[in-house]
Amino acid sequence: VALIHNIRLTVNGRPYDVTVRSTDSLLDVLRMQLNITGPKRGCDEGECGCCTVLLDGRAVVACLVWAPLCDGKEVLTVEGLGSPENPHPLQRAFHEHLGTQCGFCTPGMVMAAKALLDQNPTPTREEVVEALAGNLCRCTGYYKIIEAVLAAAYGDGDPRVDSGSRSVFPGLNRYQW
Amino acid sequence: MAVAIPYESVIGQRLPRIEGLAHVTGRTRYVDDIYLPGMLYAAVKMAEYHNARILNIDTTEAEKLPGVVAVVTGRDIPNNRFGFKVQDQPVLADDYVRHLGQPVAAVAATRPDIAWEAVQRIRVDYEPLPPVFDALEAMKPDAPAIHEGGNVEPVGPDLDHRRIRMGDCEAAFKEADVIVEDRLSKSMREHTPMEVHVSVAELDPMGKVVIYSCSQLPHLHQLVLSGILKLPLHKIRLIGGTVGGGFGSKNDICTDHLAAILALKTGRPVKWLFTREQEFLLSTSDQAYPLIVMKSGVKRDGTIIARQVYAVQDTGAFCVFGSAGVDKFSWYVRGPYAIPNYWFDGYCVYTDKAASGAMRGFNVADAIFACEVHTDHIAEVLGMDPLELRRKNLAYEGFISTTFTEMHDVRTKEVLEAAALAFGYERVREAKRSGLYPGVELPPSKRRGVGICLGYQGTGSTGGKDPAMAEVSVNADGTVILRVGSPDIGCGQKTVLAQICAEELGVPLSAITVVAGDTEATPYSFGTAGNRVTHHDGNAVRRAAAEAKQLLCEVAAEDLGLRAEDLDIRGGVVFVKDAPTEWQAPVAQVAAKAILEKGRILVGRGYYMPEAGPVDVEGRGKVTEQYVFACCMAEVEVDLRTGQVDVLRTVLCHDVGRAINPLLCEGQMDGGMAFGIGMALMEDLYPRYPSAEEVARSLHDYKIPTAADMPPDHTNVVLEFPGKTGPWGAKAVGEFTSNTQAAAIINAIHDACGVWVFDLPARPERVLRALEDENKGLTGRSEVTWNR
Repeated sequence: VALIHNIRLTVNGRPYDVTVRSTDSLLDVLRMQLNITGPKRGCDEGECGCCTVLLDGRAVVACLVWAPLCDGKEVLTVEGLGSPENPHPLQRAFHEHLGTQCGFCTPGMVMAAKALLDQNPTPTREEVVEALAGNLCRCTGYYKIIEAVLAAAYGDGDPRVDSGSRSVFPGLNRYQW
Repeated sequence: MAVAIPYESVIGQRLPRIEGLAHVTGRTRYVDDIYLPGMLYAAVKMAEYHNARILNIDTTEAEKLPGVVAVVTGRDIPNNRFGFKVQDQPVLADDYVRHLGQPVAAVAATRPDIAWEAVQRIRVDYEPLPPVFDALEAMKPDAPAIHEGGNVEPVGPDLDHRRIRMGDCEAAFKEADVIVEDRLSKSMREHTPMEVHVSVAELDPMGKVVIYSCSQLPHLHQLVLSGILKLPLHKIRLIGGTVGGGFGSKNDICTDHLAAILALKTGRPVKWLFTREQEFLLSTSDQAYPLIVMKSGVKRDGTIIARQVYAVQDTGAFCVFGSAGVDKFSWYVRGPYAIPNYWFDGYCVYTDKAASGAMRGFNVADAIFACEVHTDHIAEVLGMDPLELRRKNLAYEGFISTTFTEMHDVRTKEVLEAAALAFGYERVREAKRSGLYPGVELPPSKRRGVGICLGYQGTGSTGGKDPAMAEVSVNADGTVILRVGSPDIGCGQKTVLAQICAEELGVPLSAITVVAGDTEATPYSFGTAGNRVTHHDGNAVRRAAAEAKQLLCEVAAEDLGLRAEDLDIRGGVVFVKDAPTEWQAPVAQVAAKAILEKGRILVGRGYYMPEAGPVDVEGRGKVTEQYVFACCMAEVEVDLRTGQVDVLRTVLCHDVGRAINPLLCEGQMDGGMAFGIGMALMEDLYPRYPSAEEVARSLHDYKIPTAADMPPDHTNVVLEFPGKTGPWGAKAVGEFTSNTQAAAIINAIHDACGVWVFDLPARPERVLRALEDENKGLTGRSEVTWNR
C-alpha cells in the first residue's frame, strides 16, 4: 500500500502543490500530474538519460528521483529553458547544428549539456563527451550534439568547436578533391 | 532568357530540420506524451517459458482488483493470427508460447501500477516443452516443430530455400589456384530506439478506432490491423508521423493491436507503453546468422572467379519478414565484385526466440560483413594488399547483378578511391612497408591496425512492391500542405520532402507544412523503411508539387489569355516566362482567386511506383531501380591483455546521388557510424547465442555506443553522382550508412594483431579467444586449399 505525501515543488519557475504516492518518481509527477512531458520515459531505470532534468541546479535522471524527496526543491526541464519562439542559446545551437534527429533523447541531452556549461562554461571536447556519456542517443552518432554544445560555449566559427567529425563534399560527379 | 525573379534553389542547402525547434524545446508531442481524459493503462502477462503448451489461463483474481476495467486473452481477439507474409503470430498466445516473454493476457486499468498488479494475479498453467534455440538443430527433420510444416520457412511456393546458380562454381573451383573457405556468424541485435513501443487507442463517437501510433509503416499496419480487428479500413485510423527513433523496430506491430482491442472492449482510451525490458523481450529483434560459409575460388593474381555461399538465418519464433531477409542476404553477399560464378543456398529457420523483424541493414549488413571479412582473408592468403585485391575485382557498369540484371550507376571505384584518399591509405601502407607504422610509441600490450569494407545496397524495399503517394494542397493564402504517408522517424524525412515540394512548386520552404503518417489525412505509402523515402516519396512529392504548380499556372493564365505553359512560379511569385518583369502575381493572390472566386481545386497529386519487384524461383528479377555504394575505413587499437578494441579513426564514404540537404546527410552518416560500431563490437541480445537462456533485459545488459565510444577522428565523404531515377539525382542515405563498419573494424583487428574474429560482435572475450586460438593454430573456422 502506497503512502500519500503532500509536497510543494517549483517547476520551471512555477510552484505546484501536489499529492504524490510513495511509489512515484519525479518523472511520474512531471509527466502524469503536471503534464510536463519534455522529459521522456526511455527506460525508467536510469540508463538512457532521456528524462534528465536539473534538480536544484544539478542534472539528475527524473525516473530515479523519489518524488516525496522533491518537497521544497526547484526543477528545471527543457521546456523551462526556452521556447520555440525564444530558445535558449544551447537549444538554438542544438537546432542549428542538427544536434537533434528523432528528438527523443534531446530534452535530456540539452539538460545534461546545460548542467555542464553551468559548471564549466569553457569545456574541452573530452569534457563534453564525459558529461554526455550517460545520455544515450541512437540517431546522431553524438558528433553533432558535441558540436552543438561546443558551439553554445564558444560561438560558431571558433576553432574549439570541433566535434571530431568533419565532412568532405567533392562536388557533383567528382570523387577527388 | 534570364529570369528576373530573385531565387535561390533549396536543393543542396544545409538547412536544419523544419521541426527542430520543437524538438530542442521539448514541445514535440510523441505518442507517450498523449494523456487523454479517462485513459486506461495496459499491461501484459508475459510467458515464463521459452516453449510451452498453455493448459489454462485464470484471470478471475485479476478481474477482482479495484481499478481493473478489462482483462483479455487470445479468445477476445477477433482474429488472433497476423503477419506480413505468413499469418503465424498470435496477438495473445492461445495454444502455445514460443518464446520467453510472449504476451499471454492483457489488462487495462485506471493506473499503470494497478495494471501491473493485476497481471501478477493472472495464473497460467503450462506444460513446458523443450525449447529449440539453435537454428542448425532446428533445421534437422527430427527437431520439434515450432510451426506446422517444420522449422524451415519456405522462401516461396515449392521452394524451401533461396537457391541461386549463376555460372558453374564447381568447374571454376577446379580452375582456381586457391580456394578459401571461412565460417562466420552474426549475433541477434535489438534496434534499441530511445522511444520504446507505445500506443494510445480510443474510439471516436461513431465507433471508429483511432490509434496514436509510432509505426514506421502506418498504412501497411492499418491493413494488418484490419485483419486482426476484422474491421474495414475506414473504421481504423492510425495517427503517427512523429517517431522517437525507428531503425526497423517500428516496422512491426507490437502495441497498436492490443491497445485497440482494449479500447474496443472498454470504450475508453487505452495507453500501452512498453517497459524497456519488454522492448528487449517482446519487440522484434534483427535476424541472426548462426552460420555463413563463404567459399571463393581465386587466381594467384587475385582474380576471384567463383564464390559459393551457404547461410542459415535465425528468424526467431515467427516469420514477420522472414525469408525476405535471406533474399536480401543472397543479393549482397557476393559483394560489389565482378565474380562471374556465384552459387547461393540460404535458409530461414524458426527457433524459440522473440520474432525477428527488419533492422537497419536488414540482412544486408550481415552479408557485407561476411563478404568483406572473407575478402580480407583472401588477401592475406595471397599476400596481397586488401585495397589492391578489391581494386582488381570491382564490379563495373553493366555487370550482371546477383539477380541476373544489369547493374547501373555502379560507383565501386569512386567510393573506394575517395575513402582511401580521405583515410590516407597509401600513407599508412607506405609507413607499414618501411616499419614506421603506427608512428607513435605504443605500450607492448597494444597493437594498431587498419581495415577496409566496401558494400552496396538497393534503394527501396527491394524485392517487394513499394508504392509512394503524395498530395500538395495550396491554401487561399498561398501556404501549402504537403501530405505524405511516410512518417519522420528522425532522419529528416519531413524536411527533405518539404524541400523537394518547395523547389518544384516554386514557393519558399517556410510556406510549407508537412502532414505525415496519418492514414486518414495522407495517401498510401509503404512507409519509412529500406532506404526509400527520399527516392520514392521524394519522386511522388515532386510529381504532386508539379501538378499543383500546373493548376496555379492554369488559373493565372486564363485571365491573361495565355497558356499554363507560358507561366512559371519561383520564390512564391507567378510570372510570365518570357516577360517576367511585365506581369507577376504572388501565389497567394492567384490561389485566393482560384479557390474563393473560381471554385477551383488546388490539389496536386503524385505517385511513384518503382520498376522493381520480387525475384522468381531461380532468383531472377529486377529488385531495385538503383544501387548505392559505400566504403568504410577504420583504424583500431587492440589491447592484447583485455581484448578491448578502441576505434581511433574512421572514414565513411557514401554515394548519395545528390545531397538534397548536406547537413542531414552528415547527420545520417555520423549516426550510421555509431550504429555500425555497435554491431561490430557490442550488440548482442543473446550473449550465449544460440542459447536464449540468457537475454539482455536492460540498457545495462545491452550496450549501445555512447559519446565516449565514438572515434575522436571521423570523416564523412559525401559523393554526389546523380542517379537517373531519384529527385534531382538523389539516391539514398539513411539505412545504408550503418552497414560497412563491422567488416572494416574486424579487418582492422586482424591487421593489428593477426587474428580473425569471425563472430560478431567482437566483444573483448571473443578477441581474447581468437588470440589464444592463434597461439594454438586455427580452430577449423577456415580452410585454404591450393590447387597448384
